[in-house]
This record gives sequence, structure tokens and C-alpha cells, in this order.
Amino acid sequence: MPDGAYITFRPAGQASAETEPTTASVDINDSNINQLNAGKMLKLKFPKK
Amino acid sequence: MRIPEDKALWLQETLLEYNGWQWGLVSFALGQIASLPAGGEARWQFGVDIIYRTLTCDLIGVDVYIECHDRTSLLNAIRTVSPFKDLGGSLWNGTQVSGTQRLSQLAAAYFPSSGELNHTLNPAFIEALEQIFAENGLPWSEKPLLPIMTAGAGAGALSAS
Repeated sequence: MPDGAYITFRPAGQASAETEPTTASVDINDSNINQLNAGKMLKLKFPKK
Repeated sequence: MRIPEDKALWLQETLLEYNGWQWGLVSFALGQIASLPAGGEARWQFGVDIIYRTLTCDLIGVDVYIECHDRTSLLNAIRTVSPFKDLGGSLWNGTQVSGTQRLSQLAAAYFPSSGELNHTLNPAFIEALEQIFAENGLPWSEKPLLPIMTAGAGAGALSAS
């Protein structure tokens, strides 16, 4: 992103064989968000209903 | 338990996050550890060593290499490129890692009730990890395993590894 943040999106079924195939995921590495999240990047999971 | 508590809790939480999930490699350089200032060289070194340990012990695997092409080039790259410069760039963010079956079996043995994060340190889990590290020739130590190459340290050593 222009502000230096990194966002990675993984569509459901597109990650490794060991990962849940029905859930998409996103991680966001942004210094401002990390500060609010115990120093970690934000990891989001989006299960299919 | 030989691993200090703050590092042990971070290690437990980080590995459980990768268990069954793929995330960017940079997670190994993030997250609060009381004894390691965030964003510093010691934190970078710790992240590199944990990546090396967990890869060698088949607890994590690399699914997608970015700005490197195999395990050797990855290990050389993460020693050279700071995860804190430009937020780690494509190397640290784009390289995708997930937990292995071995990690899954270990997590199931010590955290049988759910796959959710457990924020309470489980010393038995850490001791099992320490055993795995030792069995793979990497007993716990505070000494760097793969020394980082900071600016000005010279790149010559990279060719020796």
C-alpha cells in the first residue's frame, strides 16, 4: 500500500494443504495497527457459511 | 523449561497461530516479548533463529517463496534484510508459511480442547518443543544460530553458510 502497509489476501482453498480450505484469510502488517494489537500484525479469518 | 517465560509464551502463541493456517513469515519478527525491544536487532535475531529452528524441526513449512527460491536462500535473505525496514518488504510479508502435520500433532497433544489461541503458558508444550529442538541438534540457547548481517557487517560471511 502507498503508506507502506502490507496486506495479504488468501482466498478460501488457495493456501497450503494444511490450512482450512473453506476459510479465506487476510493479514495486515501496518505499524499503526500493530501497535494496537500487542505488536502483532492483524490476522483475519473469513469462514464460508 | 529452559526457554525464558516471555519468549516461551510468545513462541507458544506464534506456533499455535500457524497451526492449521498460512500466514506471512513476518509474524516471527512481531509480537511483544518483554526482554526484547520491538524493532531492534535482538528481536530480528530472535525471529531469524526461531524460523531456523522451526523449519529445521519440521514444525513449519514454506508454501510460497518471495524474493528467495528455496530454504537456503530464504535463510540467507532473512539474515540480511531486516523485517523492520519498510515493514519487512516483500520478503518477510510475501513469503508464506504454515504449520506442518508435526506441529498439528504436537498442538493437539497439548491443547486438545480447541484450536483457538491459548494465552496461558503451557510448560509441558514448551518442554516438548525443547525436546524436539535438542533431538534436531538445536538445543535451546540464547546464542545466535544464524547471525544477522547488519549494515556494515559485511556480506562475505553469507557465502560461507
